[in-house]
Amino acid sequence: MFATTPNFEIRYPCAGDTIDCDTFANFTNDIQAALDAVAVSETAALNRPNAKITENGAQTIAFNTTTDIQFHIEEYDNNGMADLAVNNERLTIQTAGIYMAEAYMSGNSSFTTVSSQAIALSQNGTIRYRKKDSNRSNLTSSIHVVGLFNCLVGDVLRAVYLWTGSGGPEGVFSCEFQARLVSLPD
Amino acid sequence: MLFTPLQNLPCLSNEDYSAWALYMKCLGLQVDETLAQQMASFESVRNRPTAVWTSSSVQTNIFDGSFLSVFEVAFSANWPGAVPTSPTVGNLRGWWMVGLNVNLISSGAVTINTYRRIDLTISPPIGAPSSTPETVFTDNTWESNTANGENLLAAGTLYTTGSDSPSNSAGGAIFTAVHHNNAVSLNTTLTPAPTIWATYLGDTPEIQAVS
Repeated sequence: MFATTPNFEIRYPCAGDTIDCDTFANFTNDIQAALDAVAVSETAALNRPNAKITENGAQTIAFNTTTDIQFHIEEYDNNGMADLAVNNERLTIQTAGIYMAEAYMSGNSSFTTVSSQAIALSQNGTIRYRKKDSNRSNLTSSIHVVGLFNCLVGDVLRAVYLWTGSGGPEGVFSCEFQARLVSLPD
Repeated sequence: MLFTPLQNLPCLSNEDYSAWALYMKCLGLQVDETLAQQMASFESVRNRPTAVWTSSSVQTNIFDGSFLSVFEVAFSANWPGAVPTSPTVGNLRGWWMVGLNVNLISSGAVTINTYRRIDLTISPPIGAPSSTPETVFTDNTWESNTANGENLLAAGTLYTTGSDSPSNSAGGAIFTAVHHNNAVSLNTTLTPAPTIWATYLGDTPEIQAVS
């Protein structure tokens, strides 16, 4: 009676079994299958879903108007989350799990008066994380936000910006937006 | 039966060179166990212990030096043991990334140009050498007279030694102290809700290998 190992079901002979060429072939092929499975797992571990998109000046934002930041440069994307030709203001989740998303915004406000600025991360239109400052005035400013999201396939993550003050519009001097998988669904 | 020194793989010796069945059993089981450990290690890389706590009720009367205290588990993954209902760094040795995001708004008229500050503090576990909570991250800003509140965000990495070697931050609870010099107390808002999170990055050797 041939037996199998507990995890990868590698077949091996027991006492009394006849050992022939097929026995060795099965044994070798089962080990090969186990190695292939581990290689798949290794590839997945080294290529966790991860995307980063950036912007460097093409967008202007009016004061007191909550605005999705638009991006025109795909730095990297190994899971099809960014499709800037179709929707340039989002990352769309393709693999369910918990994601760490992060956005950075540096505005060009040298010709306007800024009394506050805020950057937020939204999931399907609902703001989950937000960072706001009111302590800068008429200065080129930068602001950063980071947080974790429990995402399903198709969920949309966006970076959202709002400033208050007068004049403008404020230019997007540089902006970065990224998301990466940190955990699989429970 | 002889065994290789590192992976403990068997090979036949002069005494048992005809024991093919035993040889294949030993080799198969050892290969199976080794590959299973490797696969588990790879799976752990993309399934980090992670938990997020949030608050579903507005917290009020936050005076200078108060702690935010009303949190519940929002979601989690692969946490070591049951996820505590209060924010906590998991009891695993290694590096954790933790964060706090909260919107603080004055309960009355804003005292113009007063500061707002949050301290993300990790308390030691019971029996640790020090009983003093350790502040690991801080964020601060100023509230002007816009009266719309300020969103603060503190995030960063910290190292814990786990239960095998107690330290100030091994498996400790996460507290959030609020400091301000507004004339009246502050409230939180639910847009967005106060959120605390912790995700395991890995043990020291893995961090070194990646960098």
